[in-house]
Amino acid sequence: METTTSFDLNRAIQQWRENLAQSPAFRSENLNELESHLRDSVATLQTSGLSAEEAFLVAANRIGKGSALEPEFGKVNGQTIWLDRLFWMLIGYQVWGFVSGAIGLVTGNAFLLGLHGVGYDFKSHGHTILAALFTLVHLAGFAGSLALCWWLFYRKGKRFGRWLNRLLYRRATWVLAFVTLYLLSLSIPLISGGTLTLLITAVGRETVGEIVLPQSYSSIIMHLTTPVVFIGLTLFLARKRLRVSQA
Amino acid sequence: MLTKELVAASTVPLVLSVLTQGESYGYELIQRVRELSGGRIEWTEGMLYPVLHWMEDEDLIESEWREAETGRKRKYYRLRKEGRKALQDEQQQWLTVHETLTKLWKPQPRLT
Repeated sequence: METTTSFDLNRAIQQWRENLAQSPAFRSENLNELESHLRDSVATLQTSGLSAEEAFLVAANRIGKGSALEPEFGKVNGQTIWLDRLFWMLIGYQVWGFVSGAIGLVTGNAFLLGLHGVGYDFKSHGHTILAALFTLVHLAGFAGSLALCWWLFYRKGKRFGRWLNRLLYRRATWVLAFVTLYLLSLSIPLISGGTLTLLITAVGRETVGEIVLPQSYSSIIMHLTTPVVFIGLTLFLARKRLRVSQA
Repeated sequence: MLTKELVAASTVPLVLSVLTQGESYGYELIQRVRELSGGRIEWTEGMLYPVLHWMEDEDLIESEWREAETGRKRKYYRLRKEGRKALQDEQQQWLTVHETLTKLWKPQPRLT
C-alpha cells in the first residue's frame, strides 16, 4: 500500500501552505485554491509512477516559490495587503503602548520610592531638579521600551510571528487571547493606582503633592517628544515595507 | 513559446473560450490550454490565478467551491453573460489581427 518511508503528504502540504501564509499577498481562499491545485498536480504525478514525496516535490516546484507568486497575487489583493499593514501597525502600537507604559510606570515609581528610601527631601529642593530627573528616568524607560519592541519583532520576530499566526488560527484560543489582553490592558491602571496608594502611605499625603507637580511637568515633556519618535518610526517602516512589495 | 506580452494579452480570451465549453478549475485550465496548444502555451499558476480573480472581480466569470469526484473541494469557474460579451469583442479583435497578418504574409503575386 503505502511506501515505507515516513513521508507524510498531508503534513508536507500543510507546511508548504503555512510557508505561503506568511505573506499578506495571499488570502486564505487563494491558499485553498493553490492547495487544491497542488493536490491535483500531485495526484496526476502519482498516477504516472512517482512516489508521494517525489510527486510533492515536483508539484511544489512547478507552482513556484512564494517569492515568485507573491507579487502576482499582491496585484489583485492590494486591499488585503493594506488591511494587513494596518492590522500589524495597530498590534505594534498596542504592544508598544503596553510595554512603554509598563516600563515607564515601573521605572518612574521605582525611582520615586528609591529616592524616598535614601531619604531625599522632596519639599526643600524645588521642582526643577525633580522634573529633570523624572524626565531622564522616563526617557531611559522609553528607550528601553523601544529596544524591547525592536528585539521582540526583529530578533525574535520570525518565531514570534509564526507562533502568533498559529495561535490565531485556533478558534478556542480566541477566548483565552481576549481574556489575556483584557488583563494586560487592565494591569497598567492597576499598577498606577497601586503604586500611588503605596507612595501616599510611604511618604505621606503632603509630600505627594510636591512630587506630583514635577512628575506632571515631566509627563508633559514626555508626551510632546515620544510621539515624534513613534510617528517617524511608523512612517519609516511603512516606506520600507512598501518598497519591498513593489520590487 | 509565446512572449510574456503575448501571454498576458491572450490569457483572458483563452480562459473565456475554454469556459464556453463548460465550467472548469485552475489546474484543468492549464492542462487544457497546454494540450490544445501542443505544449507551446505553458501557463504558470502564479500568472493564471490572479488573472482568474481579476476576471471574477470584473464579473466576466463566477466561481463556486464544490466537492469534486475525488472527494476534495475545488473552485470551479463558470462563464457569465458579461464574459460572453467580452469574448465576442475579443474574437473580433483577434480575428482582425489574424486576417491582417495572414494577408501580409501570403506570397505576393509579382507584377513584373
